[in-house]
Amino acid sequence: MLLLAPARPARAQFSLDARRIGMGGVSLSRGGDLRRFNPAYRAVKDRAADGSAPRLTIPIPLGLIDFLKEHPLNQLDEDPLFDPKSPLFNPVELMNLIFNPPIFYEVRKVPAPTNDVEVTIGKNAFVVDLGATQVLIPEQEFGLGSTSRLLDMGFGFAGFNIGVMGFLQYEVGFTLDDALRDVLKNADSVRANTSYRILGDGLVQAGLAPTISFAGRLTRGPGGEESDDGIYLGAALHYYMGATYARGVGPGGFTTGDPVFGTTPIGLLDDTLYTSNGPFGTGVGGDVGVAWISGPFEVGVGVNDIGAELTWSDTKAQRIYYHPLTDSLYSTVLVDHVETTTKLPITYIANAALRMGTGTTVGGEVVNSGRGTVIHVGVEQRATVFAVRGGIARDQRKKMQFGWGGGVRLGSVGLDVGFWTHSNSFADKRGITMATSISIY
Amino acid sequence: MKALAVILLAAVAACGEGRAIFNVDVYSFMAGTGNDTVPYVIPIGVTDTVLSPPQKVSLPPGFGNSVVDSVRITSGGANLINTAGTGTIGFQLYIAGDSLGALSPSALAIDIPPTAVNGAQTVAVVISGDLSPALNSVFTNSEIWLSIGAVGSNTGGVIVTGDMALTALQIRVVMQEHIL
Repeated sequence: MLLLAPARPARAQFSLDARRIGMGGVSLSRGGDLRRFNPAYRAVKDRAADGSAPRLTIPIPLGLIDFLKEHPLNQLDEDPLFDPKSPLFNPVELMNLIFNPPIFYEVRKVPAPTNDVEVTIGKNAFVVDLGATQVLIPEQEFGLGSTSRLLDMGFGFAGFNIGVMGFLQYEVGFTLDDALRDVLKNADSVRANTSYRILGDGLVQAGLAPTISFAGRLTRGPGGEESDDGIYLGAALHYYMGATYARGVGPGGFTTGDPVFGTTPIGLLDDTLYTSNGPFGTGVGGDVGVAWISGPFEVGVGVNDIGAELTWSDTKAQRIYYHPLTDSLYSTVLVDHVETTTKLPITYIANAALRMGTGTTVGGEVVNSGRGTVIHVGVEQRATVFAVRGGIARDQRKKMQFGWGGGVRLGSVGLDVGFWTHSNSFADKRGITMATSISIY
Repeated sequence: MKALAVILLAAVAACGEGRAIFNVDVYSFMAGTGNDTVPYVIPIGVTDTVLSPPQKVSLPPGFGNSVVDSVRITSGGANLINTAGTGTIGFQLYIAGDSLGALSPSALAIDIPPTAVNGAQTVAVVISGDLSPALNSVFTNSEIWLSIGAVGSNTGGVIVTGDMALTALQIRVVMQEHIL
C-alpha cells in the first residue's frame, strides 16, 4: 500500500554478532563485506587465525523468545498482529516486524503510529488529513533495491582463481507526483478534473558471470611472512551472461471528475514494459581492490562491477495501458527484436582499522551496496577479560544511528552484548535493539 | 471511485487503531439542486410536515464493516423565509440508505424545535446536535440519501406560506475503522 512504503528502510540487524552491533556496525573480522566487495582481502589471512576474531559467533535470540511469548505459535490464527479482520490489526506494525525481525530483544520498540484520520467530503472537496502519520509520506522517490552475488565458486592456484558467480540486481522506485503528495502530505483537497499519479520505475536483471580473478600480496612488511604486513591487490574480470531482464516504467493513478464526489474517477495506467526475449545479455566488467596492512594499521578499498554494461541482443518493448471504457488492461508491442543495454550499479567499500597496543581498536567502513552509502565508525577497548564498545553510523536513510555495548572473554569463549538504535520502522522515532551473542575463539 | 477508495483505505489503515472521522458537507451536495429548499403552505389550524425530494450524498466506499461511534451536526443553519401568516416552523432531517427510505418516518435523524414566524420575515434557524444513534450504521454505506422536512403549524388567521431554505449542513461521523 502506498503509505506502507517509506523512504528506504535501513538494515538494522546488519549482523548477528553483538560485538559488531556494539561498534556501530564496524566489522572486526576480515570476512563478510570486506571479502565480498574488496577482492584484495581474499589474499589476507582472517583474524580468526591469530585468535583476535572469533571462529564462530552464535546469536542468542532473546527477541525471538520474547516474541513467541507474546505471540504463541498455537494462537497465531487469532493473533491481531496477523489477522487483518481483527479490529486491533495494524498493518504498520506488521510491516515493522518484517523490516525488523525480532531476533534480538527490543529494548525500546518503535511505536506504530496510531492517530485519527480526518476526512472532509463535499461535492467538490475531498481532504484527507492524516495528522501525525503525514510524516510517513515520502517527499522523494521511495523503494528498494540491491545488487547480490548469489553464488561465487571456483578453483585456483598461486592467487589466481577461475569460477562463476551468479548476479541479481533489482531496483524498484516510486515517486508521488506533486498533486498526490499535496493531498496526502499537506491535506490539500482532491480537486475536480485533476490527475493524481504515482510514477513507477522497476528493473530486475539476473544471470551468471564466468570470472577470472587474482588476489595476492604485492609487498611484505618488516614482519615478513609471520605478519600480515604488506600491500595486497585483487582484481576480477567478469563476463556477464544475462539470463533475464525486465524493466517497467510509467505512471499509475486516476483522474477525478466534476464534481469530485458523485462522478467516477477515471483510472490511469500507461506503462512501458521492456523484457528480454531470452537469455541473451552479455557484457564485461570487473572488480578491483587494494589493502595495506602495516602493523596495527589497516586500510582497504574495493570497487565492484566497474564498466558492467550488458547488451541484450533480443528484447521487446510493450505498452501496457488501462482503458476506462472497457475497464480492462491492454498491451501492444511497440518494438520487438531490438537491442537494449543495461548497467549494473557500481558498488564499493572503503575500510580502515587501527589496533593499538593498549587494547584499543578503532575502525570504520563506508559501504555502498547499490542503493545508498552507509557509514560505520566504531571503537573497542579491551581490558583484561572485559571489552567496552561504541560506535556511530549513518544509515541508508541518512539518519545517524548509535551503538554501544561490552563483553567478557574467558579463554576461548566470549559473551557479548550490543545495543543499537535503528530507524527501519514506519515511524519517526528510533528503536533500540539489544543483541547478545556467544563467540568461540 | 475505486482509486479514491484505495487511497483512503490505505491512509486509514496506516493509522493503526486510530479513528476515521468524516466531515461531510451535506449542503454542498444539495445547493443548487432545489432539494435544499422546502416550500410550505399551511392552512389555518393545521399542523403539517413537508419533505424535500431525497438528495444523494456519496461517501467513500469500503467502510461497510466499520463501527460508527457517533454522528452529529457540527455546523448547520436554515432560513425560514416566511411570506405570510403566523405560526411555527420546525426543521427535520431524514437519512436513509436509499431514496425511498429517506421519506419514511423511521429515517428521522434530528428534530429541531419549532421557531415562530409572523408575517413577511426571514428567520435564521441554527441546526445542531447529535443524530439518532439508530441511524449510525447508515453511514457505513457508500451513499446516503437525505431529505429535509419543514414541520409547520398555523396559529393565526391566514394561511402560512414561505420557504425553508438550508444555508449550511455539515455532519461529523466518527467511526472505528475496520476496513477489511
